[in-house]
Amino acid sequence: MRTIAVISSVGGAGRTMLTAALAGLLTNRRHAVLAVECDPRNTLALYCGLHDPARAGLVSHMLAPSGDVGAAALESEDGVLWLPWGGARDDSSTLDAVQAAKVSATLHGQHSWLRQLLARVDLPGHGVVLIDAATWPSVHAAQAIDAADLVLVVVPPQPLACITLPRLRGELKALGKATLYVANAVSPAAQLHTDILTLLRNLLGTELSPYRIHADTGIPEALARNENFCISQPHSQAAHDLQGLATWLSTWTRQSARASASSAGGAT
Amino acid sequence: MSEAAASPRMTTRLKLLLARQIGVEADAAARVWAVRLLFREPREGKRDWALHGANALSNQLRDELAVGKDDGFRTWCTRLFFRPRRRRGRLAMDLRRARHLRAKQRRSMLLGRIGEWLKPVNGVFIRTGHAVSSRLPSIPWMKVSERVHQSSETMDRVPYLKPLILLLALAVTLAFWTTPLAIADQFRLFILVCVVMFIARRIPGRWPTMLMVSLSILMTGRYIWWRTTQTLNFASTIEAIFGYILFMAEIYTWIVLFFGYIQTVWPLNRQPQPLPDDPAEWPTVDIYIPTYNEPLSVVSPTVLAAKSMDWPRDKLRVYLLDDGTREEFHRFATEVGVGYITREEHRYAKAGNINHALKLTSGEFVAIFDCDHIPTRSFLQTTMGEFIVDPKCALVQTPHHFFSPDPFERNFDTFMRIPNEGSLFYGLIQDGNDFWNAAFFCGSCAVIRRGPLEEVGGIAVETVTEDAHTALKLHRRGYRSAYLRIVQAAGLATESLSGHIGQRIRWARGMAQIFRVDNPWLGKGLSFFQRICYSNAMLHFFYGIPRLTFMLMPSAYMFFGLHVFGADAVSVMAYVLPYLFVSGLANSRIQGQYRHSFWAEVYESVLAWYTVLPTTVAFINPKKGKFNVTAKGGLIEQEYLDWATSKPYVWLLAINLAALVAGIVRLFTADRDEPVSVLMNMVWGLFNVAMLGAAVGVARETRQVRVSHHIPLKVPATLILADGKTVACHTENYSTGGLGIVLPKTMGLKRGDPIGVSLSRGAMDYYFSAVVARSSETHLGLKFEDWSHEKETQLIQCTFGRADAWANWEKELVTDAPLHSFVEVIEMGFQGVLRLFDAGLDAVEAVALRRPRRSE
Repeated sequence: MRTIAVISSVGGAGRTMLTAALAGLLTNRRHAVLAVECDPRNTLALYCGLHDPARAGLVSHMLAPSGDVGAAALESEDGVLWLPWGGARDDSSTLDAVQAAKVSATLHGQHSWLRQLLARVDLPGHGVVLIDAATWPSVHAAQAIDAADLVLVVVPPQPLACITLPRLRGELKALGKATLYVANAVSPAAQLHTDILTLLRNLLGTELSPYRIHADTGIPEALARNENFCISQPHSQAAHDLQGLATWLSTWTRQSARASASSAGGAT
Repeated sequence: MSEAAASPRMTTRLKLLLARQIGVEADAAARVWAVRLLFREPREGKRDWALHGANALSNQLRDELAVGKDDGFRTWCTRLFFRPRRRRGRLAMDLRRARHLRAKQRRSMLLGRIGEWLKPVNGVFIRTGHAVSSRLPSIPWMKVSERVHQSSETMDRVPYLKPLILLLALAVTLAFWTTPLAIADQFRLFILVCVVMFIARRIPGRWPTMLMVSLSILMTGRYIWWRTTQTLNFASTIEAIFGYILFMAEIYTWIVLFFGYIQTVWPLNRQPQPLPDDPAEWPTVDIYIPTYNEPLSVVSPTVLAAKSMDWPRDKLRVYLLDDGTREEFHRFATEVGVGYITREEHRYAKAGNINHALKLTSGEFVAIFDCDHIPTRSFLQTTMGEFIVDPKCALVQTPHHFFSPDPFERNFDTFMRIPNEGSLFYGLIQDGNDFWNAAFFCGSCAVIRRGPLEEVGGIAVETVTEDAHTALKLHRRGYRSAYLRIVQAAGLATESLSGHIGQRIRWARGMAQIFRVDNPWLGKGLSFFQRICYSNAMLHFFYGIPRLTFMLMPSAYMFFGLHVFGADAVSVMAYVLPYLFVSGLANSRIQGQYRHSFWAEVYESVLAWYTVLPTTVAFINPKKGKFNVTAKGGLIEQEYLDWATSKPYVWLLAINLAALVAGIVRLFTADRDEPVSVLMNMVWGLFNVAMLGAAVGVARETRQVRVSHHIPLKVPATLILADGKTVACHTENYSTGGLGIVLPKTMGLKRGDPIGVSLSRGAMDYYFSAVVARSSETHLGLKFEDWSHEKETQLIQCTFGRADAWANWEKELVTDAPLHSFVEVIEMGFQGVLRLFDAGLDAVEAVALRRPRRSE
């Protein structure tokens, strides 16, 4: 089982969209997939067909750790398991002050809380856990990075993203995490995007994925219609790009699982 | 009043009553009534066969009599006697429309269909074959051949061993050739050789190929010996004359066969050499793009692609050599920043044009591109390493590749299915020449070192194939040449058959001129094998007379009863068959994916008539003859049979068909005592008919649906619609300022809709804004907005200029299967005869009815 954290250094980069799309596409490639949301925005469940913010999830498990974390997970009809942040209530309020303090204390106090939690999850075969984290820097992103075998940094072609990127990259390098940078919402029509992409390529080299996800107005439309974008608009370039990225991740997962299995075999 | 009202009411009631009785709806069609009168309605759940049959019959009749769905009884009656004029059906098949009849392997249609029928049986055979072969121990042939290679290298180091072995082999060969055998033993030998050939065919590597070639040489030699000693006995002078003509034609084929074996004995398969790490050490290169009368839309992609080749900017200079002195070209050259060279007097066409430019520029190397050969960005980096590694290397040639079908491929729908005429030359022969250091210049897609070129006085001007002649001169001075079989440029094939033939006539004439003016067997400076390679390249174009001889010889017997081949049928079978069969197999093995069996005969048959006169004239007087420029970028609006071009073949075909009839008559009258001779001549005649049929069939030009100069092009692209959605699609063709797109599904785009299209070059996206110019279902034509040379350069870089643009051409070729190929050629011949028949009827109709020819 491999864990992939999806993070970005600016908001609105398309992390949740990417996590949800990749979860479906990796399932099609015969991986058991669990999509985890480590973001108090609590929006992941909307991508898997729920109409309202999720109630059960990571938070509910954290506050009442007696139960099995699996009980908080949802399963969509394509077979993806979803573990949203949770904590929504009827009166559209979220946690009270005491609970918020407890959550905050857990996240701040136990650096590898999420990793330990996920270690208890047992996915068959070449399972993949995708973590959709809150905007970096934050304690949520830190938890996700800590838990991850591969960090997928989503970079929208915006000046702000470029400015914050070196710091994030430095931190990930210091942690020794395998990293893949993916440009998202790129429009070839915009000269700025082309220029930023050139800049990123010079900066990141091979760490930048050759698959850049094209900007497509079909993506928010699909969310509004409660559709899976890659299925409802299979001929769009953005869907092709996502397929390419999913294939890359699938290959990486299998190869790294094989590598770790052979190294473990060599050790014993 | 009441009477009149009562009678319709009565009929209605009667009708209802009857309807109930026989079980039909009252308002049902007459057909249903008729059926129900005879057949009762079937039980629930049973099929109503009677009604089905009646429906089918009535549809057939409607179709036959051209009666519409709503036409009444009266129309039916009229049409029974007066039929409207209808279009005459075609006998020949539309090969493009029938494409689906071929199986997946893109085979001949007949085989495709038979394969479809025999699928179950075939499946069992294939599965059994797999099961058996998986049980057998597998032999690592590659390793074996490597070991053979190593041991032969060690043996090569032993002094005097090689000449000794060669002498021994010569002695054995001579003995084998001349040993007389009884007919039965000769047959046994044939069977033995065949078995060895069939086993060797299955083994990969070069040594089995050598074995097959040796066997072919042995069997051919036996045939030659027998033919020369036993069959040249004639009853009369006239028979002797015809007999010796045939013998001469055969001698020609033997020479070409042996020279060909030597030429292609060891294709070099040269790989690119690395360049120095520091680009400062790379030499300066001038790129010449000579043009004469081609439109700018053809030339500009080449210029822009040449300009964006990967090479230090200050060391790359592109020159447009315009022999047409056109203001438009001058302006274009200035705008894109390339050199523009014209000259006052236009002597020696292209050669003169280049020589003139040679005096005005100063690069250490000269790369030459025909104005429609678009180079890839990697051209120079691939080719230049060779010059740096080998200072004596004066020339590096790369293949000419065509991305559009030539007339053969278009008119017979063989594009990407059967290797074209040029495949053999660029795939095998040049590579074979390279082994003997005899690869020659082909006029385009090549780099020449300036020093040696100036030493031989620039590009040769004495002949019309200045390219080969220049290379010959370079070789005479001791310079080396190299051939890289890596496609680094691509261009348009000639559009029409007449253009294609015109080009070949020029080559044939030029080669004949070189043979006379600067014969490779005479003069200094060439090695023995270089002489063989050059003379084979030239002799190749003298096939005209031998080919025509073979086409007319059966008639000599059928019409006049001349025995031009003094042997009985059994010995003909014992000697001719092994020779043809074994050399056919050996050639199929050597040429493999570059030329399918029997296609050489088709290609030669088409050109034979036209090359006879130019080669003969040039051979007698090399000064005679003029340069003709190949027409490119035309368009064929209508399907038509090119009567002017096909006339000689129609005559030859008529002679052969008449000879076949004469043969049948002879079989039952004059020659009842020797039916085998007649039959053999008839088989020969039938083969000729097939070849000539194919030759005529090629002349039927298929319509090309085109509006302007479009270049086929298939690369992935992204469309960006006005509402911000994206579509992944691929391009279909390119013309200046426009792009054809194939959509994955219909999108409902309309003419005039604004749209964006983005193409990628590696990781870079290039965006072009455009409007929809035409839209039909999934095919879209885009017209670019604010089009500039800069934009066009970007587009060329993302498409034709990509280093891997043509990387797959060899992989797409299909390996030869002689039997399949034979069926295919026969099928083409048959279709060709049918096409001729159709065209003949059209012509008769046009004359008889004084109407213009149909445009369909």
